[in-house]
Amino acid sequence: MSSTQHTHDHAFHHVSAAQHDEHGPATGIMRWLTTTNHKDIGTMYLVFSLIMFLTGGSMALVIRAELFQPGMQLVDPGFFNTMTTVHALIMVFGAVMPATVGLANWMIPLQIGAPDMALPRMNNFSFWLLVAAFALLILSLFMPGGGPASGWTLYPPLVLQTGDALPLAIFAIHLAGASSIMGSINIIVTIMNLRAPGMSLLKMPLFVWTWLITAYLLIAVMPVFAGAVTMLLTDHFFHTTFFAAAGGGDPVLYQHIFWFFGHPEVYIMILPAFGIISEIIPTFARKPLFGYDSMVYATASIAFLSFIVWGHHMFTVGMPLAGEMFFMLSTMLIAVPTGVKVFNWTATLWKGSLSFEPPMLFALAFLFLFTIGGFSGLMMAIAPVDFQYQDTYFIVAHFHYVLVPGAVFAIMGGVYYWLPKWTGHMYDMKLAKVHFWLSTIFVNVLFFPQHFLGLAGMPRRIPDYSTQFTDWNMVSSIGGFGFGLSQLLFVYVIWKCVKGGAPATAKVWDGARTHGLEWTVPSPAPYHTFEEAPVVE
Amino acid sequence: MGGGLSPEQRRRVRWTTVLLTLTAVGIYVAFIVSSVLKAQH
Repeated sequence: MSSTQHTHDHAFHHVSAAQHDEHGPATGIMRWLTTTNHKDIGTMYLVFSLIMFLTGGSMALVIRAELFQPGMQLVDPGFFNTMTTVHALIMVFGAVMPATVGLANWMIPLQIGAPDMALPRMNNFSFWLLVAAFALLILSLFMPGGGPASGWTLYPPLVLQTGDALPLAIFAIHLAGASSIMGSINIIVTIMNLRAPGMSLLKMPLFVWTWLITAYLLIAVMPVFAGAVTMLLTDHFFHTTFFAAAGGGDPVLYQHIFWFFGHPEVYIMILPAFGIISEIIPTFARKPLFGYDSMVYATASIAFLSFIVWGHHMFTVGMPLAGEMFFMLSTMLIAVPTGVKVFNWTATLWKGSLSFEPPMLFALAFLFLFTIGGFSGLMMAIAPVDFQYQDTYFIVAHFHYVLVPGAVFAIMGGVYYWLPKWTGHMYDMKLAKVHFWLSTIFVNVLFFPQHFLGLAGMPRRIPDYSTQFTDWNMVSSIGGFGFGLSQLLFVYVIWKCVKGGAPATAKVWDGARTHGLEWTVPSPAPYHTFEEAPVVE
Repeated sequence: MGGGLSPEQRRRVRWTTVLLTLTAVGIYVAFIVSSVLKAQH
C-alpha cells in the first residue's frame, strides 16, 4: 500500500518526536494509576488479561483435576460449579475481551496515524473500572454460601439461589459492562474522527475494521445483558417477578434476553481475532491480503447475522417449528461470510513466499483449528441434531475450539507479531516456537476428546461421571495440565523480551506490508506518536 | 492529546461520544421498560 512507501521518512520524523519526549511518562506507581497514554493503557490491559488468563486457567485445572477420574476426588460439587461459573466469566470478560481491548489500545492509534485515543481520560477510567469489577468477582468467592455457581449464563431460577455472592457478582458484571461500553465508545470515536488524512475507511487495516464493527456490537448488546442482570437483582431483592413463573413472570424470557446478548458476545471475542489473523498472514505470505473489501463486508455480515441467531442456544427449551427453522437457517447462513474469510486467508497463502515465524504458526493453527470449531457449530445449528448435543461435552469441545485455538491463539499470535514494536527487542524465536508447538499439541489433547465424550452422552457441568467416560477424561485432563504449564513459557518469553534482546527495526518483519502505519514508527514505538498527522497517499 | 485536535474534530468527537452514550443508555432502559410492560400484562 502507498501508506507504507514512506516508511523511512516517518521513522526519521518520529525519532525526533521521541527525542523531545524526554518529559514522557511519569515515574512510579502514579504513571500507571493516572496515565492517559494509549500505549500505557494498552500494556495495562494486556498484563491484566494475562493475569486473568492464568487465574481463569487455574480454575480450569481444578475442574480438570476433579474430572481426571470418576467419583468425587478434590472438591465438593458446589465449589466445582463455582469453578465452572467463575472460570467462564473470568475468561470471557477478564481475559479474552481485555486482551483484544489492550491490542486495540496499543495498535489502533498507531495503525490509523492518531496521536492517542480520542477520549484518553475515559480510557484510563474504563481500565481501572475493569480491575474493580474483577476484584469484586473474585471476592465473591469468599462470601457466605460460596461464589456464583449457576454457570456463566446465570439462568434463573437457579442463580437466585446464590447466597451473598449474587449482588457482588452482578455489580461486577455491571462494572465490567460499563468498562466495555466506554472502551467501545472510545474506539469508535477514535476511528471515526482521528484517522490520518487520506486514510479512508476502505484503506484501514483489517484489525481496525474488525474492532470498529466489534465496538458497535458491544454498544448494542452490553446494555441488554446489563438490563437482564438488573432484573435478576430486582427479582432477588425487591420481589419483582420478571423471571419467576409463580408471579406471572417467565424464566425463558431471561434466556432470550441473555442469548440476544450472548451470541453477539461470541463474535465480540472472535472478530478482533479475525482482524489479527488478517494482519499476520499477508506479512508472512509476503502478499497483500486477498479480497480486502470482501473481508470487510464479511465481517459486517457476521456482525449483523449475530443478532438474529440467538434461538439456536435454546432449541431444547421448546419453540414453534417456524422458530426452529428460522434460527437453524439463519445460523447456517453465518457459514457463508465465515467461509469467505477462510477462503481469503487461504488464497492469501496461495503461492505466497511463506515463512514460519511464531505469529504465522499461531495464525496457521488458528486457520485449521478455528475451522474445526466452526464446523461443529454448523452441526449444532441443525435443530433436530442439537437435541442430542445440548448440554453435553460436545458443546464444551465446540466453543473451546472457537475460543482457545481460535480467539486465544490469535491473541498470542498478535502479541508475538507486535511485541518487538512495543518493546524494541526481538524475542527468543526458538522458545516461542516451542511454546507454539506445546500449546497446539496440548490444546488438541485437551479438547478433541471432549467431542467423543459429548457424542457418547457425557453431560457438561458435572463433577462426577459414569465410568464409561473415564479414559477420554483422563486424556483431556492430561492435555489441560500440559496446555496450562505451556503458558508459563509464554510468560517467560514475554518477560525475557521486555528485559532485552536483539534490537528490532521499525519494520520488524521484512514482509510487513499491511495497510497500517505502525511500521512507520521506530521500535519501540515512542511514548508519543503522530503528534503531527501523517498523510496517507 | 486533545491539544492537537482542530475545533471541528473536537466538535465531532463530542457529538459522537454523546450519541453513542445515549444509544447505550437507551438500549438498557428500553429492555427494562419493555420487560416491565410485559410483566404488567
